[in-house]
Amino acid sequence: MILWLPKNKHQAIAHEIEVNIMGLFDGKFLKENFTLKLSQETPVEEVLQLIDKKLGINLFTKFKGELPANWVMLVNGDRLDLPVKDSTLLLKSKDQLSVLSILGGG
Amino acid sequence: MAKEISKGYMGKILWVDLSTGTFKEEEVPTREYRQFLGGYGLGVKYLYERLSPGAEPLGPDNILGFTTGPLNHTSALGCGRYTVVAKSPLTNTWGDANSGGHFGPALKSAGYDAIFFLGKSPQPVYLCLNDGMMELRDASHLWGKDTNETEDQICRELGDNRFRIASIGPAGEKQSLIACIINDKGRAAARSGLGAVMGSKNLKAMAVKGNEKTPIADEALLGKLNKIIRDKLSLKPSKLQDFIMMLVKPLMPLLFRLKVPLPSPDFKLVNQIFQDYGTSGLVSTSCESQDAPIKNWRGIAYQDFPMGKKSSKISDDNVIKYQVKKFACAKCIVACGGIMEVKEGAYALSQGHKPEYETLASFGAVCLNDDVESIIMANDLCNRYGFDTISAGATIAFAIECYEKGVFSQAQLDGLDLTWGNHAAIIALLKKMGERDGVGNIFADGVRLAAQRIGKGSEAYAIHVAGQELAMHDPRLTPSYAATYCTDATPARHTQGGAAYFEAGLLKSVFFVRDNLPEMKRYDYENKGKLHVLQSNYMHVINCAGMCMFYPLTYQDVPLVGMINAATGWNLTLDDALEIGERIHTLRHCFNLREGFLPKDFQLPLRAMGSPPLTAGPTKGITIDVDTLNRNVYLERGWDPISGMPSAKTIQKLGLKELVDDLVVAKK
Repeated sequence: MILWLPKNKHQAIAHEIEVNIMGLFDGKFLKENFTLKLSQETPVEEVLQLIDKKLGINLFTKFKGELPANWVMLVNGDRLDLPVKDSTLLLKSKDQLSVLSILGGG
Repeated sequence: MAKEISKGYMGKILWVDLSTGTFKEEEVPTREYRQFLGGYGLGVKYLYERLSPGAEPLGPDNILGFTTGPLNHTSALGCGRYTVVAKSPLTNTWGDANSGGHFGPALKSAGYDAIFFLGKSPQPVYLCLNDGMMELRDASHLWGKDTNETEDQICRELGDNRFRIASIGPAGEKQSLIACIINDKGRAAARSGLGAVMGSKNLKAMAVKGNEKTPIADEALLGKLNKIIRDKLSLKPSKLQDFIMMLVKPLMPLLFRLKVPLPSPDFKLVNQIFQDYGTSGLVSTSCESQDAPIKNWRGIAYQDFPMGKKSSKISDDNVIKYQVKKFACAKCIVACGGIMEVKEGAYALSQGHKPEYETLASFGAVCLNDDVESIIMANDLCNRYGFDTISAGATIAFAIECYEKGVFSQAQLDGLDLTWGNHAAIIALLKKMGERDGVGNIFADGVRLAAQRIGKGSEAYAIHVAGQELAMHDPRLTPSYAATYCTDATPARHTQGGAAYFEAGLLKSVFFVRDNLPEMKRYDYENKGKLHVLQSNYMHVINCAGMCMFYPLTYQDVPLVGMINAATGWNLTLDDALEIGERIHTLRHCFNLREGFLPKDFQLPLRAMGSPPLTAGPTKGITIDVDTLNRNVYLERGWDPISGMPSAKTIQKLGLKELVDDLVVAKK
């Protein structure tokens, strides 16, 4: 007897974070705001790879965690200064990740 | 002996004595153009010589100048800017203000590189320069009209819409210390309160039109340099570029793998942002990163003005959805400006200029106002009244905090419930300020005077340097803005260069490649003096030549020095140009020293330096070391950090000995 157990369509998406990407990044102008679903608490570097995948770009992965000087990364409004690859911060439900590039002003 | 003809210039300036109604032309020797270039460089040279120290800024002895540069009224792209100069009534220091539009080139077409006004007219007048004729015409019927009405009325009575007009509105007439001068109905020579100087002279407007051409040394070279700019910044690729891209595109992955260097398209995309949105495209990122100050400089972006719910509502697409057509300054291919229409509602507006970043931040983030239509209205009111939008918005934020802290009751505010984000109250107070009506009279002269009038500890909420309200860039994020705010002769301004753009990663220090410049780290307070000075000096060249700063900001290698050489026939190197910039900077500073100012008189407010630091957000825990930044700038310039005096060697090197001899003698 084969016992077929259907996949649980509501397999736990344990965490949803809000993502804002705004500004000029490596030759692309991005203005994105979306919710990213995570199955578990996830390190920032890995979240950036997920963002690349969602947007169909190779941006954050390419920089391997060392971001250019005019990019500002905020987690829940606070700036993340470390090289991202050195960060031990885990993003979880209701966190907000913003990546902004400063363009100057007049 | 044949008369020397200065290429790039009209060769003469005009002095208008408003007390006597007389005119006097004066030829300018090439040597002086070569030393001071133009714009406020030329302005400070004449005002240092001819304006007595201690003159009352709103008295007849002040001199008001409208100045142009060698690239104005030529084919040079991006070169429509002109400068207004005078002793500032807002700060009592040197004052200058920079504006775009079409007035600067028109002034030169009337035959003059600069026009200076002396004295005071017994009744309101406007200057008309019309194809070689000059006349002071009665402006009594214009007094009280806003700047837009003034421009329309003058064109009607002169019978010609081709006149370009610079005017003051009621704010300047009433000598508000934050009054500005408006041209093209919405381009502003905003800072330093120079609109009040114009009002104090009973000078309502200038209307200029002419047919003179600027003599150019090498038009063909200027054309080639223009082509470089056009190719770099142009957003419409030529057919050849399209064809090349079609061939190259399939090879791109191979080119990347082989590490073939390809030109960075970054500057075109920055240019695209400016063209699509103007600087309104920058608002939400600036707010969220805390480049923009929030809630009178004490707020935290994600708590008080978060991107998702607030700042995005006054940024980019949410601004330009009201734009009905674009506006470009003279000879500009970027066209960051626009004309707006708000069809209905409390802030309905048939036509007004697009608010740019500083206005959206000062009436938006600083006041916690997320209603974009009210900010469009505020911008239009400021243009019509003739207010500096930075100072006006910042002063209203100060008023809001006073109300919050109980310094004012609602009754004392003429019934206004002036709470954070209450856009109706913000607009109402702005109108009162424009009319000096009721409580508006307290706030019509900016935060320093308002705090002095109010007392009760309100000085702590007044965010200014030496009386001028800070621009909308927070030194807690980009520390070198503090050095610009404190060490430029016109305090609190963000357009006077410095190391900030390098800290933010926008410009590359290799531009000054022959200097061994240390690596730029944002919160390193040593090691920045040299780069700060170099970029400040370069910015003076940009401003005084007549170029818009967004060109070298977007495309750092813009061939500015080459363009100056092409226009003038000179053979300047970058070093020569930087020396001119240093001379201009130093003489403006000497103006302040002669007025009795010391470096310690230019203090950054505690809030803006992060004392105490914010407890959350992108600049959490940051207190910047302004003293070290400023000291290093002074030392790099060869100035004493305490007295501010340039060294004898610096004065000698810059050829200023004869000019500032009175200062050297007095300080001994």
